[in-house]
Amino acid sequence: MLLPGLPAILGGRVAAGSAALLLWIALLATAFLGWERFLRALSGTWDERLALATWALAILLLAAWSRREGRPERARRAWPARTQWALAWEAFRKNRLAVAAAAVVVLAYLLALLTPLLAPFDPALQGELTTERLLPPSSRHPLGTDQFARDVLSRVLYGARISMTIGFVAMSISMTIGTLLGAVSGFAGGRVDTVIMRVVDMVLSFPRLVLLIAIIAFFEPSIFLIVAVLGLTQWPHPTRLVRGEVLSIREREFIQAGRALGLSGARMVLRHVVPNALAPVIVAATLGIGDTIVLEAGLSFLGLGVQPPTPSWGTMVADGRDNLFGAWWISTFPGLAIVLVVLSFNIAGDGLRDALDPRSRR
Amino acid sequence: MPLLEVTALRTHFDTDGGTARAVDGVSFSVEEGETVGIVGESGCGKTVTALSIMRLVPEPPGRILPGASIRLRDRELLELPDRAMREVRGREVAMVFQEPMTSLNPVLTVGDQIREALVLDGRLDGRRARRAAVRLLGEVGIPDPGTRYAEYPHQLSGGMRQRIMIAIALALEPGLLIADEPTTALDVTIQAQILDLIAKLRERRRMGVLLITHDLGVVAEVADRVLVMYAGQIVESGTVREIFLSPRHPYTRGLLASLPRLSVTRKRLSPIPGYVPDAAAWPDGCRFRPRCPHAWEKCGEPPPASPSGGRPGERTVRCWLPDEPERRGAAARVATAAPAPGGKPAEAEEPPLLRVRGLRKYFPVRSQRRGNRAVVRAVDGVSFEIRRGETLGLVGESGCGKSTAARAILRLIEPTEGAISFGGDDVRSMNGDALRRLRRQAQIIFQDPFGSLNPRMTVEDMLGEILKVHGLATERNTRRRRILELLDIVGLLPGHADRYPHEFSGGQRQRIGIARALSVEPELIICDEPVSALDVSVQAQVLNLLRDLQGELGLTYLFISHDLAVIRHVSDRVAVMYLGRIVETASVTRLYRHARHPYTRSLLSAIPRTEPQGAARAERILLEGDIPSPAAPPPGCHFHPRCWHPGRDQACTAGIPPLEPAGRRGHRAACIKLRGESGA
Repeated sequence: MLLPGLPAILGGRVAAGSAALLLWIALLATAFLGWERFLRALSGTWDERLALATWALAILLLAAWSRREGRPERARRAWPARTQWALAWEAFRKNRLAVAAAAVVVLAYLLALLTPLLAPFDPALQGELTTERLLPPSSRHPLGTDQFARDVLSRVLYGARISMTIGFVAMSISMTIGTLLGAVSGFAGGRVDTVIMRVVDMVLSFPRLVLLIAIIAFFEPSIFLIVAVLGLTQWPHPTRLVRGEVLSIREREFIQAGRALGLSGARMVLRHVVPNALAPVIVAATLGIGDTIVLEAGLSFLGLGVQPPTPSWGTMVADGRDNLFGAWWISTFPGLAIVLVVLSFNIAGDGLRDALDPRSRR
Repeated sequence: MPLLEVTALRTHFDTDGGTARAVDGVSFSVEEGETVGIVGESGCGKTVTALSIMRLVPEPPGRILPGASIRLRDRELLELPDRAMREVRGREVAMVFQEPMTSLNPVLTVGDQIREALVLDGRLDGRRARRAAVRLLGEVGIPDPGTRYAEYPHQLSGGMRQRIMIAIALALEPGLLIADEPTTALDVTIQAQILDLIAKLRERRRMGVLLITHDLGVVAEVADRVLVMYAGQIVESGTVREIFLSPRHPYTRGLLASLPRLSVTRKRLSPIPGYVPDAAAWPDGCRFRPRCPHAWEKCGEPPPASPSGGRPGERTVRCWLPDEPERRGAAARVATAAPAPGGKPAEAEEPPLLRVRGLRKYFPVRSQRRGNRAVVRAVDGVSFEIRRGETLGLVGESGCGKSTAARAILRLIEPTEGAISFGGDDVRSMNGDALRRLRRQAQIIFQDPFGSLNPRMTVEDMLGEILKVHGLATERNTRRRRILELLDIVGLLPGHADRYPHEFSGGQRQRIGIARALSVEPELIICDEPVSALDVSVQAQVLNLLRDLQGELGLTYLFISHDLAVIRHVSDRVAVMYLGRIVETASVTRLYRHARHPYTRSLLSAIPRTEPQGAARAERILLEGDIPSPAAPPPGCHFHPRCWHPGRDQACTAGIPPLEPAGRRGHRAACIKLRGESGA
């Protein structure tokens, strides 16, 4: 109970148990070592409070999970019915690599949220330019400093907030638009379908990068603008995906049965069509976040994305490219962060696809 | 020496749910020139047996356990190296699969696919192989083989494709042909052609044939000997006459009793209770014990196949029962169930519940050439009526428009033309509330028990939603009570309410579909092939349930099926459809005894009988050719190109023959050549 994960380790599930145990220790250690910051954060800015809330929530969740693990087998298996989601979870759990990737994703978001409590320095804080420039990794600066004597670790952590938030929000926007338009297009059919699909074709036929460069060239680049632009150019893909899915579901007999039973159109879409079309959307969204993070990094690298001094992984890689041989750590660590997170998203997405698609099961 | 001798074959699969013992100790033999049928329900190990002989079982997860032997003439197949086994496949043992749609390569012409087999063999060069391929096409009964040689699979009908599959299988003159459900995907008239072809080829080539099927009729028709499989074992074997005329194993008897017969009308079937268990969890002892009406203590021990393995001419039964004959009599009395009350059709004076006049449904299709709009006349002028409490059977082969007609009646698709009146109200002008009222009074049960239930909803959610929407049970508790009541009516348990569709077997799903239809307390239920996806024993359970419900709730059925035996079993009156039109309609007894229309008569003669050879068989009419496409039906009488009637002439193509009286009591047929003849 006091040590989450221990029952799991004793119960033979070593990987999950030790992960939980390490996380628990890490969370407690942050609080213990940085108790002054915790106190300050209580009356700090909103993102510091958010970090505190996240910390408390993580502790609570771990404890709750530990309680459940600790209880005897019988009580735990009180699943009321084995839903399709439960089955998918069982299938997903068997894929070790995907579970590990999902853990990395969760950890990355946890780190991003906890950054104000973790980062050793202010990301924009410039140190003594004469003595603290381009320092290699050391105990004071675990990932070294850049040409403005800023701590690279802190910037990677804060950069995670920017990059991953952009990825998540932009994907949510495009998925929401895509699901809605796709469902309407597939279910209504006829003229509505034709109009929506032609708009999709038009958007798809635009070279996206050129469009982004043009928009950003006209307006002052800001995080809000980047999110909006990325989100609003990516929706055609989920639209096509959902439309195809809805078209096939619409022909299934349970939809006909629903019509024969006099259910209304809205009810059919919300209760019968959308839940059945959801699985591929989740997969596409997971894979899409990774893509968006890469795209944002690319834009930032070209100077079209997040503007300095705000740290984002893309701008950091760009910052370090002049000193790549003298100070490799400036570009390398944000670059590794991009690779690790995007790879995790892709692996987790592939795992989800296998788990959610009943055709590939067994 | 037998052609094929299988001894103690065990093929197991390692799955998440444990070891599935799909085939578990099977021994039999096939002689030259002999047809051996393997029958049994799905999940009994028939196909795995065939794949094991071909050594096509995927390993892993499958594995053939040591100790087994498969001898082909003098060679042990299980010991052959992979290369040598490849030589055996095709040359000595060939296989024909169930699905002619997917077994052919769509990007090669059918001729090239046959030629490929011949050339790979190395015996023939390209040109001679081509000639041989054309000859083979002719041999399997493909008209105009020279032209057909250059066609692609999608240009051929299902029956034609199955012929091509057979031609490929025969290309290298194998000694043994394994046919795995070769006719299951085909219509009866086409099935009769294919079975006839296999029988002729076997005779001509002295081949051994191993015929795997779930259809007892097919086996009775063409097999010399029969092996009955249940739960991975052969439970009974013997000659066709022995198996069908004096079955000994309770499973065999159960299967035969489950089968609706053409000779008997409206008798309650005696199905085998329960379902085939999962292959990873066969029961201990006798595997049929949980479903067996005779089971007693001794059945806890696994019965041996007695006497020893299935040598030719020998009769084996895997059951304790023959050892204790006195038990048989006692149990036999239990087995004869009391006849259930049949639905009593109301008297003719009452207006019909459903009246359909001149119903038409045309689907537009894009024609390949030019821009002119072609139409598929799926339903082309159908008229009938159903009285309250009556069952009208609508029978016809695939593509004849019976399902389309059913959906058009319920306005699930909009009819193109025609009048539909339900209980005196005009269905076609209904809107909004009126349409919703219709949906409460007329319901539909679908064929596919897997596709017709929303996989993301529990049974309770599904039924509860309907009750809520129609305001039939607004309060939570009453709703729950009503749901349990519905489940009870269809023979499910209260515990099933919280489950999802994927947790049920096919038969149970169909019961859920019936419960869903009943939830709105309808008067009319359209049953669209409700049992054709089910195994015979489960089919009998569902048919009995539908009958009982009709008696208890006074339901009216429009029962659609391609299976004439099922239709005979459930219907009061029957309408036969061909290419969008009704060609004959009569009371069930009249139709089956005195069918007049040439199509109906050939249809009836094409059904494989389960009374082997013994029962006198009326003349057998083997139809030639395929069912034409409804996009381009022949002019006049749609049936005339395939018609065997001696009087067939130019007049048949002149106009659509009307449905005219052809006998007593409302017997009508659409054939101008019957006018002169006397109605029997």
